[in-house]
Amino acid sequence: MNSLGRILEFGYYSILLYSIFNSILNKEKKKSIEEASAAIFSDDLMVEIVSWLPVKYVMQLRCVNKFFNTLVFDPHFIQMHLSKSTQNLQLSFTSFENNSADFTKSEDWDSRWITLSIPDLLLQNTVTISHLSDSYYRLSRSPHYRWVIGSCNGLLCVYGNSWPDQYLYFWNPAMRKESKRIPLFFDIYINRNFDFSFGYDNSTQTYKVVAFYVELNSDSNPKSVVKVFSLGDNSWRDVQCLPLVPLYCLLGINDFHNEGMHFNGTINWFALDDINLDRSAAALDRCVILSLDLSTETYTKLLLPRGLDKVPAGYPPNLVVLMDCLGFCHDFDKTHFVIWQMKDFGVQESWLQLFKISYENFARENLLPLYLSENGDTLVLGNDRHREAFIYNCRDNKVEKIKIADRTNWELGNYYVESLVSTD
Amino acid sequence: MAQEASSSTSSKTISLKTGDGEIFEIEASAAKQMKTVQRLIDDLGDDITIPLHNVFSKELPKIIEYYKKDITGEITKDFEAEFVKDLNDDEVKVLFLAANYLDANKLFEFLSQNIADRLESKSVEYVRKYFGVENDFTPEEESKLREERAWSFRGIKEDE
Repeated sequence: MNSLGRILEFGYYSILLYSIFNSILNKEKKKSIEEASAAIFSDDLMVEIVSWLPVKYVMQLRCVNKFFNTLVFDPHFIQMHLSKSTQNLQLSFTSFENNSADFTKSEDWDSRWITLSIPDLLLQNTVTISHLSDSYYRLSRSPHYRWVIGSCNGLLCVYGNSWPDQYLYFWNPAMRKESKRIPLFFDIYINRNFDFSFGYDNSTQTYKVVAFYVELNSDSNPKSVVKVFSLGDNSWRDVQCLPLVPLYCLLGINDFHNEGMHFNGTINWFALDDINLDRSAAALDRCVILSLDLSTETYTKLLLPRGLDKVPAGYPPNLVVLMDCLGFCHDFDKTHFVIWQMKDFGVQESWLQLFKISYENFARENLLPLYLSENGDTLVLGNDRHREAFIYNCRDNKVEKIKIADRTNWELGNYYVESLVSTD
Repeated sequence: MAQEASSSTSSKTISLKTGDGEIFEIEASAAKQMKTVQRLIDDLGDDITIPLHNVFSKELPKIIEYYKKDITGEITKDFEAEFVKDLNDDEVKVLFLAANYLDANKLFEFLSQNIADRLESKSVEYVRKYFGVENDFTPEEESKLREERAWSFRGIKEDE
């Protein structure tokens, strides 16, 4: 009995010890599983995650370690981040506030660069305006006058005027980085028929600013001086003169919507087809689109759609980029506005009339289309002279007013996406 | 006569064995979305239980759940929100790494974005721990960098 008891005891303790060991082993096994599951992120995986972050957070994470600190300069990462950022398309505006009672003194206006989120507007029906109260985004503040010329891949080009200096510079507002100033080669108060345009040359992967002024002499042919500044250069380069005079120079309109429109490596302007044409004969059917290719730095003439209504230059036409195509909109008979789209760049037969919409819906004329949704259903429009913006649903013809900014005037800008593109 | 889905290849199921020895079934069409699995099927045939050494029984069912929805075209923003709602940061990390191993692109992309969203409100220290990386800055270097980028730190939540 005793020995049986001992055997049983022994057996019992063996089993006990065995199960204790086993459970320790299982814990070890489980632990190693957890370790395997909690495997360290490879560089590629960390980069993948970080490429989804808004720029502000990428900048914070530069403090993590040296790898993250220099990641923002890696061209592949910059491109990766940009391609994700383009899903958060924004519209940029300049908002103005007056500091005195005299509305005519431009020096007394404070201006600020603000953005509106398109996904928030279309998907959540909310107007999300950023930077309205952040003084970093201030542009003009008397006596310094600044305006944004253009926006490309998160980089802005800005004209600045701190008397007597006039200059341009590049600004990445998301990274809070500015380039050095580039002195201008003329005085916009003397050569008043001027234009600045900003774009990207795909072939050399360079950001370029095109600046020109035109001298209109009644007794001789118009003369133009055109120069290009590439980001990374130290000086302006001469390019060919304009073969045609942009419509706005001829009409003496200096509206900021009428700058050259950047599209896919080209800068485009409306121009009269005949350099000698009398400006009073300026009508849409006598116009062409003058297009400057940023890689070859040469010009081409793009023809407008055939059979265009004989539209007088009352409300000048505006070039627009909608749904990744170049197009334009014009007034028809002061009752409607019409939007055309060139489906294949440079191909006259590919012009398509997208919309002919009555102003009645808006109780406002001279509207500029700002954005068209991918499915073609929703159009965002604005008229900054009257501080009105609208969303138009094309299917059910419904119009909704949007409030951009309270109490202030604002001016329409361009498309903008955040990026890590460098300013030098 | 009510007919069940015919036993064509579209309703064929594949057996997957996790690293900790459990077996799960998955539709062949869902398996196609996981390129690693598909490669193994191509090499080993679809009658054999496919071994997945680096995926475990904790996460595989969740992944299978995602792709079950995917093949019926039912993945919506609401579904995705629900899918990660009750997962903590570490659980999402495990899923993300598994999706990477399985080369399951759609889930991988969704989880990348989700992790990025979660990290937005976290501190630099938290991110270091989460990614398992060392801080190779000296204290002086780090404080200088933080000072330079003070603007980007405004509005950060306290470390959890």
